[in-house]
Amino acid sequence: MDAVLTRGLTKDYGARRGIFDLGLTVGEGEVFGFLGPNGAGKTTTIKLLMGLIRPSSGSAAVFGLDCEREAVAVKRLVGYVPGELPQYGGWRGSEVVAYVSGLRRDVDGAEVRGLAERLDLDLSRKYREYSHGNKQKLALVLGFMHRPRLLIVDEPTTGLDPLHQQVFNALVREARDGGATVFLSSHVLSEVEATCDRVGIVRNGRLVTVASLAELAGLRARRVEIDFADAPPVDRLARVEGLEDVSADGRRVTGMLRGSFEPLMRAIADHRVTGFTSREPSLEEIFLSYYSEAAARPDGPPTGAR
Amino acid sequence: MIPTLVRLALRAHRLGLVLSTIVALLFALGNVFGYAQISGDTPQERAVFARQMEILGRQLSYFLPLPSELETLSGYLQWRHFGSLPIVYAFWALIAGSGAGRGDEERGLVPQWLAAGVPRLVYLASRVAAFAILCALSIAAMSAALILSSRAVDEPVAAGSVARQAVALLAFAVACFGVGLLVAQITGTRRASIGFGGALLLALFMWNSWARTNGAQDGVALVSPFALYERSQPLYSTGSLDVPSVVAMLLAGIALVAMSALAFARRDVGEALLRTRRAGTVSREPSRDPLLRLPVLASIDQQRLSILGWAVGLSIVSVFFISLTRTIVDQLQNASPVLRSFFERAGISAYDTFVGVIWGSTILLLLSLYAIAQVNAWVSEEADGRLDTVLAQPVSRTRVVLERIAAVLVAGSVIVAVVAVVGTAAASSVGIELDRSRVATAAALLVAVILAFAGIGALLAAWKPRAAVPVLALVAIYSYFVDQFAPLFEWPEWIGDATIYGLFGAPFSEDVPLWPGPISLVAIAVLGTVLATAAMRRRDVGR
Repeated sequence: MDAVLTRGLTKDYGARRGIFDLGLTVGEGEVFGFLGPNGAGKTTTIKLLMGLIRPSSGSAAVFGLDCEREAVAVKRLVGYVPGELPQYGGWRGSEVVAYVSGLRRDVDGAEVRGLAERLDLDLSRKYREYSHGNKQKLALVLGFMHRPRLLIVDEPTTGLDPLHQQVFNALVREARDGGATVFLSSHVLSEVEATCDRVGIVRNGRLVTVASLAELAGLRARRVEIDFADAPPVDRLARVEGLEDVSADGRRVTGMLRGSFEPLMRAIADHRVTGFTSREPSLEEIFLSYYSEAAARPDGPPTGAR
Repeated sequence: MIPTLVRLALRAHRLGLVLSTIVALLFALGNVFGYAQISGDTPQERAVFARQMEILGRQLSYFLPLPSELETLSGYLQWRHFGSLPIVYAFWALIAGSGAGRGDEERGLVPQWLAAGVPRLVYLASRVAAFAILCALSIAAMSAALILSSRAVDEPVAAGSVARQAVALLAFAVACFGVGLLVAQITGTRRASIGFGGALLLALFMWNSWARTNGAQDGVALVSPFALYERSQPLYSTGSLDVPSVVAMLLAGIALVAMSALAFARRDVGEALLRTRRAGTVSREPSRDPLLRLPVLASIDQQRLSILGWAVGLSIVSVFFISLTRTIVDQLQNASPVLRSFFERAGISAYDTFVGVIWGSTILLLLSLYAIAQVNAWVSEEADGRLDTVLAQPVSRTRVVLERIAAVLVAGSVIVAVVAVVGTAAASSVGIELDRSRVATAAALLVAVILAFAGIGALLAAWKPRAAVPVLALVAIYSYFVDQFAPLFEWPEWIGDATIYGLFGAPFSEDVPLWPGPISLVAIAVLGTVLATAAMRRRDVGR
């Protein structure tokens, strides 16, 4: 059974804000990254999955349960880490955990202790005394403490130091190893790179593409940097088939190469080259590449949602 | 930058401006036209009216200044109108002072301003100046309405006298704003600052009431701004603006603002001035409090300090007013042998009736405020994102609404029960034996009033959260004014009965049939709750 299934899911806030015609499938046991810049529609999608807002049209289901009509049953299976942290004022962390545990009734105290220990979170302090990072840690404890079948996390590492980002990544891996599904929204590509099996990219409320990390990497170009001994043949390089975004800085030329190296090699064969670097682009560069491509098309290329 | 700062400060006080001005205007127009309607046309009729009203005024001396010159509109306005307005403006000043001292900080606005290079003193000065400007505008609008309406009924009050009284009122409001601002520096949250500031102002109000009832207004009572304010009576033929009192109030306001500025400069942003050092222990354990894990009781548990505060505060108010009962009623009967013989012939205990007046007005009004505060907490729950967290658990939206109402029912019943028991005991201790069945009926009706407000509030919080508190405040204001003016204007009985306070009735002095009062109040609560669950199920939740 699919952990998440959306069909034509739309939430239209007007002025082209919201999420439109989202068709998405996330398999059970999968870690799915949902990528997009601010305002792309990631949080709207998550709120629709959580039944916090009602769709304008279409439907969303979690493990076959309708997110709107069977919201309570859905929430028994889901752990949620919101992107915007709630305010608990003078409550102590321990009181927030006890209160939410009381609402769920499926929380193991040992799990809470373990999570607080790993995240180095002092539950005796008042919420208003917590730093942003500690508030985020408390949100993670609340999301993970009942070992949910599906974790929906919205930009979870905001405010966490690198050490605790690693802890979060480990928690996600452990959840997946334990059979849980993770739906992770982010605009931080490194956290997606570190944890996800597949990635969906959303832009302006529309799904641009869905692909595995490997597929995504295969689709893109390679980053090349060429150092010339003399003045670089910039005009000639700009005409090389598959070489894009060519820029020169002194005697160094950089660009993105799609396809074969042959045309580029022929173009520089007559020049003295003192350095040549070709590397896998970061997901950041792939991400930007998708956006620039999609921006060139009227509605973007919503490709295979599996 | 400073003009922007002042503009934003003016904006921050706009809701208080609108609500306070509406109340003040309604009160002004109601008093002028009400007086013209009922005071009579001939000197004889006026004299009879003045005598009757004086008896009523003495009965209300725990609440209002002692009346005088009630045969003229000027005298009536001095007593009834300008005697009541301090409560309205003190309330606004407290909320505004707390907002300026703590509310903006909680919303993260103060750190932004300070980071932009605004000195703390300038920030605070902008908020004080904005309040003073808007308060002056509000009082000016009310004064203009008073002068124009008095001309409309052919009994113009002297504009100069009204202006002098307006100056006293403004000075009083500035002093109260200073109280709110200073308390906000000492406490850690806005809620706490409103609670402590409100308690302090209430204590100062009660201090003045005690002094007034016991003829001690010229002595120690002058630490209270309420007492200082009452020394100015320019609308009486022999009265005048008491300049030293006005100067004292202004100086007190300035001193309180200066102390607030000093405290603000010395404390950390986001922290109280006085802060206890935390113990060095670290805990990874969830709270062991079993109540936090139970439906309804979890909400009650979170509010335990607030419930205790309301119960203790209202009990103190009850004990205080009941302790004044004998003095006031004895003075009243000495002043009016006719009234004394009337009570004797009718077999009515004047003391009982007076206690009923307290229950029927002051406690009822304060419990309405309690219900509105609960609704405000529901709205904040959504605005602060806590409702998202609740609904992310296996909890239905219907349960959220029902738990809210159930929590108000339980907490309200506890508060009312404590106040009823303490009030009955206090009455007994001064030799006034209240009819227990009437006390029980009144207590049940008070709970029904709280529930009716909660039902309307639940609907508004689920449907239009931002409108919930202002609309409920208007419902309370409307009920209060209709309760006050329906007898004056001789409106049809059903208009007075069709308000929440009208439905409460007068359980201390007459039997209360189930219909229309109790049944209507419960019906409002039930209907509001049912509609709230429907609205909640259909709407988007979240910030």
